[in-house]
Amino acid sequence: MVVAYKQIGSDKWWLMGLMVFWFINILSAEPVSSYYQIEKINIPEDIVLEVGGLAFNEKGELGVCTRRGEVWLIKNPTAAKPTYQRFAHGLHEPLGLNYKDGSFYLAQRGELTKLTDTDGDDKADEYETIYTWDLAGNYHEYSYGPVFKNNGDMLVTLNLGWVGHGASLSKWRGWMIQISPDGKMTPLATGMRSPAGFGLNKNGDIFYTENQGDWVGSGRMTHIESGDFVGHPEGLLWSDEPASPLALKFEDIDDTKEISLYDYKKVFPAVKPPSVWFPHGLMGISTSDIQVFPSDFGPYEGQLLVGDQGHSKLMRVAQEKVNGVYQGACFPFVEGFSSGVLRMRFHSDNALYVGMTSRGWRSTGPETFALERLKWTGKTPFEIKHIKIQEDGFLLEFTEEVDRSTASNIASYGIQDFTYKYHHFYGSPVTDKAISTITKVEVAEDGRSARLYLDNIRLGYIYEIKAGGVNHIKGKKLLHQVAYYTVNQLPKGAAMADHSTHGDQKTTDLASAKRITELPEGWEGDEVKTITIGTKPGLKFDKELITVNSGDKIKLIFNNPDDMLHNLLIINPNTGDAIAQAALDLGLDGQAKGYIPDSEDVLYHTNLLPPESQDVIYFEAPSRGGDYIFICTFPGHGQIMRGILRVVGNEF
Amino acid sequence: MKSITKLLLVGVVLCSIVSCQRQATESSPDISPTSLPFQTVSLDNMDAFEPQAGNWSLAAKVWSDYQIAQDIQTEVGTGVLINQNTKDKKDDLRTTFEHGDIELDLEFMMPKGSNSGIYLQGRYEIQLLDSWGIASPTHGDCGGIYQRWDDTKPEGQKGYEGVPPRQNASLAPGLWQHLYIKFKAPRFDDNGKKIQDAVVEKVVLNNVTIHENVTLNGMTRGHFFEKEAALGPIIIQGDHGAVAFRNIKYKKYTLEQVALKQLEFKYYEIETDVLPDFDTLSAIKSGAVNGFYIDSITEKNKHFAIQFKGKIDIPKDGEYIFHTISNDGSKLYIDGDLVVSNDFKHDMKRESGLIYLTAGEHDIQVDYFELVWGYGLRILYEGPEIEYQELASPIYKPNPWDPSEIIAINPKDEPEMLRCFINYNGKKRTHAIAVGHPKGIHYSLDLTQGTLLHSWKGDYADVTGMWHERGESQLLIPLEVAAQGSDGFLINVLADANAPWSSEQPPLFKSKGYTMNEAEEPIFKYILGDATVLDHLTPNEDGSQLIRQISASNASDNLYCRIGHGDYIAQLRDNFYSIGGKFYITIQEGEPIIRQSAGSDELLFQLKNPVKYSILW
Repeated sequence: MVVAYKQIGSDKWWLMGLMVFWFINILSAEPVSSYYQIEKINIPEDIVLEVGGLAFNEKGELGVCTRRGEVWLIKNPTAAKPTYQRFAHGLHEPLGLNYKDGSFYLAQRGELTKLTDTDGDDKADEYETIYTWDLAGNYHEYSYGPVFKNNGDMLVTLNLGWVGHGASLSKWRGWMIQISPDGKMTPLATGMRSPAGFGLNKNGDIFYTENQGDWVGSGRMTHIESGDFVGHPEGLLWSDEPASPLALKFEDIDDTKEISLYDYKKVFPAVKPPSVWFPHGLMGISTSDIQVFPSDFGPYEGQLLVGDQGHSKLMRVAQEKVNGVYQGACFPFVEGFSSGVLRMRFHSDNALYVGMTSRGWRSTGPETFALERLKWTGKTPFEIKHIKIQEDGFLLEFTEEVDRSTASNIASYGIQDFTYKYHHFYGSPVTDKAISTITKVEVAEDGRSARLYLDNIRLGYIYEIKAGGVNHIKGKKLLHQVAYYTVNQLPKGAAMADHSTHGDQKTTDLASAKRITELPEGWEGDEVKTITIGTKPGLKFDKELITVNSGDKIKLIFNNPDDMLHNLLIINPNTGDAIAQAALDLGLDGQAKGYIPDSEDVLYHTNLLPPESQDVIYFEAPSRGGDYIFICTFPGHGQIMRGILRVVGNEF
Repeated sequence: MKSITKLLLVGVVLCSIVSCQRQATESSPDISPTSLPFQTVSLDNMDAFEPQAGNWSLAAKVWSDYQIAQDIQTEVGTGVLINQNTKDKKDDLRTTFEHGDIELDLEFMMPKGSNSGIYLQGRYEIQLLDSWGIASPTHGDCGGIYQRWDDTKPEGQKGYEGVPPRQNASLAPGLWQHLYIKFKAPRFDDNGKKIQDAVVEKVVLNNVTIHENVTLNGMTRGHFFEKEAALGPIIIQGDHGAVAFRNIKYKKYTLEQVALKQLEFKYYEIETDVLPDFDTLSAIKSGAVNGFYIDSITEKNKHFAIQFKGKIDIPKDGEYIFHTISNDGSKLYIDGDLVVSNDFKHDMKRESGLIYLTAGEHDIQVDYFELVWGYGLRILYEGPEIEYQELASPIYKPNPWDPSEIIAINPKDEPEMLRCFINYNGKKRTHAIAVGHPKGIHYSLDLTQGTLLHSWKGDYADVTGMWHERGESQLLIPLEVAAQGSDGFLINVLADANAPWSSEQPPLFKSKGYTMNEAEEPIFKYILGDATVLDHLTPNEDGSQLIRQISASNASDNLYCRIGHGDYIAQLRDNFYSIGGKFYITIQEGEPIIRQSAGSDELLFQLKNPVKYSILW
């Protein structure tokens, strides 16, 4: 392209402009699938493979346990049409599967079970109860695991019940427990709400992922050690049991100060803040399984993969240990799976097997269940590989050599930081956000890293680091341009920063001329047409086409009975993709702005509605006829959640 | 596994009621009742009934052999009502009380080949019959609403309008069966002209709903009165064979109601997760309203609070129960006293409170708030002879995610075994397994105790509560009538054969799961100290009975299993017993120990030797 540039004379400026435009387009449009490809794995029609757990046996056969209680053995998982053998059945919603020394292990709702085929007919003959725990009978008392520790003990996590808020209705709910192969149970840590994903990193340390909810400001990953309290106080109802490794009491927890979980550690040392936060909506909405990158799956060996059920995607996590404490960054990785990603396992063919379900918990992937395989093409994507904290900034390591001029330009980067409140409400607004000043950038001699110097680093904050201006040495853009680094520690010697207080960001009513919520003046007595639009599970509006006449006075009632956030924007014809992207680009500000981009193409809009809520707006149908679009621009929804507002009238 | 779907038979659940007390934070020993008590028909004497020829009498205990026609064996005493009609003595039995609307709840025992019936108001018969094993029941089978009769019509058309039970929910003759009837009497105008037919609102036989909202155009055959009327006695048929009853209780209702008037509301917009101090807030609007209708006050569905104040007219003195079902919190006060406390953020949840009220006018106040995620407020009450009903509050629409069809499964080639929650005596068992056999005979166990909870024949399981959406009940429901087994731990170590059977988990007891045999049936395994106990249930050849085999290795002399307990263990023939009239067993291997302990009879075996018996119901 550079050659072409030289050949075109300056009088051909328009052609050059066109070429550059095309060039940038090509580069930025390079899809993730050039590097990682999703393949469907065939599921026979009569099998409801709502995946709860995945595990390979020593023959390379894939065990899949399902929410309907079956365990399927996929005999040749790499084949185009693999064969399925029902290995076991009748289990109570097992949400985890593992394999060791000839037996499968799984957590049912009420017990840890070992399944063994003793006569070699590929059907379990022994359903052995290893350990039974209590249940109150609430549907939300899910049980997950087991994960094997290196010593052979098993880890199991116990979800809280739900009664309008998370509740520990039976013993050890909200805990991670450890069970020996002969059935001895040791409670390890509590404060969990919905601990569906957990595993060991390459050093054998335990991490678990959490979903946004009451007491949980956003998705997160926390390093678990015995005696930790990770945030949700309900599990503390059992801390006076003799076996409890911590003494903190339910009554001790006071959220009226509305400080961050990081700051709450100063009140109670048992508090363990997360090593990585996943900002809600931007890095998924419901984190799930954790896996370690092997050596042959791109340039990320030893890093972690984290699934997301609601957004049907995978994220990448690179952590480091600073002063003995884990912290690190999460990055976008691969989107577009067919259902809600719950479980992942690597196979010896270096593919990642991804098991999915979305029954009762909707996902952007439209299927109710699926099994897919993610393969690395062997090409190295140009990405931020790792972010490491420095005493006065961050070191960004890249997977490939950068273009030194863009990488050394401060304007190529943007950094802001924020935190979440620790309180009993559901989720938290982005709180205390500030823009960091980058004072200097140094690019390493080998062009593989850039050191960013900041004027200040705040402990306990999440740093949004954007590097959109950094080019590859051959010109292309980063495949993903943003990461979120959680700062728990600064390297020794660094000056501790004070927290400066800024205003909160909150999702409140959006004051906007495009959102009129009272009957407009002068409409009294006029005919006002009422249109009611609702949402349906599976990212749909309950209407696909609404026809009005130009100039109609309209009262729009927007109901959101779904269990996700949604908004509704009325936008100009043919602007759906652009507006969806613009909403996504709002980034951290998105939630506060209701994911409403500031664009002339947005004509009217509602609030961003939480589950089971409603908004009413008034507007006049556009005077120009045409197929306008109504769209939800919450991240992940804008591509599919759309309908047409057909305005009958002159198209001019 | 074969999945089939059936039309949803059960009524739509209007709201889910979750009531979970947290012991660590609120410990209230006084759990208020949610319903006023039924009135019991005393069977200490015959005072509740009109005099009769003597075919009706009282006994302490009754049992019967399912193979012997009209068999009824008794132990002298009171508490059970029995009919043993003869050629001369065959009166029907009338209650001294009369009723209009009524809920009636009783147990009956129908010997082999026998026939009786319950005439509501002496005019509308719910048939009682030995209908065991009938595949397609008619109106004349047990639980049927008997047909009407017109002698003026031609032969073959005289009988009409009978309603069969939806399915045959009969147990074997000689077992105690449970019947619940809810009946709405016909209504008449001032001139005595009928303006509304009687309605059988619900009949539940052995936990299976067999009728719902059946309108009765007129009296059924054999009615005891010439005309329909507002009131009448219950009459039990006594001329067609032996029958026994016990635990007869009822609630009858007048047409009186509590009237709500002068209701006013004050509306506040506030973000709170607990009821606010309304006196410190200023209302955004206020006014009169004719009921607790949130939708008529605000279009919002979050971040608001409402205080209602008004008057209620109480028709007569007595105990009243008030309920609020709300999302989020609510409190109900009468004359300034807190009656229902249902505060804080929660899903649609019920709380109740009891209060004695005198006839006349009283103040009522309801405080309510909604933070976020679904809203709703219902106020309900029940009073002396006043039926449980809404107090001017809306009926909420069913959840759009509620299933329109049930998910039913039946075993096809090999047994199914589903770990599940299952209701037993109205309580959820959370570590249960339901095993379905292709021969059409099924059972459920509580794996934490080894308890055989239910056994049933025919279709296997409704798993809608487990597999639809989030599966909020997680309940497996047997698709047919189920006999109920005896509760408690299957095995125990006793110091001697007289030591009591503890309801506590025996020390060193462990439930270890199950092993599949060649027929793909589970064999359950329990460990108690050094002993390992195996428990296997399988159909007999024709699928009419379950055969249970219990054996132990390393058993000491003190290791016992208890396979049944109840009011009585009656030996009817060699090796054949009625276990409290709940089910029958035939012992094939093992020496039973029958003993009395803690007020009930028990059947035990020492587990030194294997035990084998069959179960029939």
